[in-house]
Amino acid sequence: MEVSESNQTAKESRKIEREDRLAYSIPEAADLLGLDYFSVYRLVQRGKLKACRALRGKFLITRAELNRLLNSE
Amino acid sequence: MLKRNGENCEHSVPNYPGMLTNSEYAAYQAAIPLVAEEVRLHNERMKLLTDIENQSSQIVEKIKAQDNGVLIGAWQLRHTLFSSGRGEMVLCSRGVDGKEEFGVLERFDPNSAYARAHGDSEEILRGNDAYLVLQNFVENERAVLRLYRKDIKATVEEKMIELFPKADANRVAKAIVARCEGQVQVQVEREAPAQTVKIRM
Repeated sequence: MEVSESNQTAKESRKIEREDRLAYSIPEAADLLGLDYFSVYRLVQRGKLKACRALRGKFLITRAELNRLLNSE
Repeated sequence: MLKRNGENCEHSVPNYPGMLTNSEYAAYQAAIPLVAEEVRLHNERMKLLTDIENQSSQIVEKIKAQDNGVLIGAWQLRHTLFSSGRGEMVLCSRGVDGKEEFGVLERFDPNSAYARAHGDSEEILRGNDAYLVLQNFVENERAVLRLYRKDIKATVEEKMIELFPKADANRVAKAIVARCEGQVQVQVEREAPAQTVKIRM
């Protein structure tokens, strides 16, 4: 029980930490959206979600873009 | 023998046409376990797509012989293409103006933030020929995997710069992505035989 509570707390603190960020990697964005990694790449590929490229070319999704996606129809 | 940065280029690795130096090879061996899960997921998905592509005719025959399937909005589920813990891709059909239409739908976890905003299923593509719909679906998914490979390459480069600042991170990352392109099994190996063919997708 204690372990599960501490896991829950750790999960929540990670979520809060993520909410303060300006941009997220694809796996982080997938967690926030509740989707599979490939679903997020699919949204990017279909142009429904705009990704920017960080140094080295890693895809990043800005918090503003995630909010736009979740607030659009 | 070719030399780079004062080192002999003497190591060949699967699916990469070039040769790596000692330090590049050490970096390569260190990087493989760091992205093993990503490469495994990539190769698993790539194999699924190849299976769908090769079995398209059988899938079409099978769905034609089926009775009514589960309803997803106006669509009837005919065949599950693949599924993960957070959703699935399904081939569906419906009647439109007396003609049968086929579509690939993505279904999401109904409790996910995305599903709450956009509904728990989304149409990816549709058409009147189930075989063509499947072939287009496979092509689209391969494009999705190309994006995934770019991220794997970037991840390797990031980790290489931290761990092996002297190695050519770009070359090592390219060599690792070549493993994805050839769907080589991911495991740490001592030395691989030279490959002369590079497979591109």
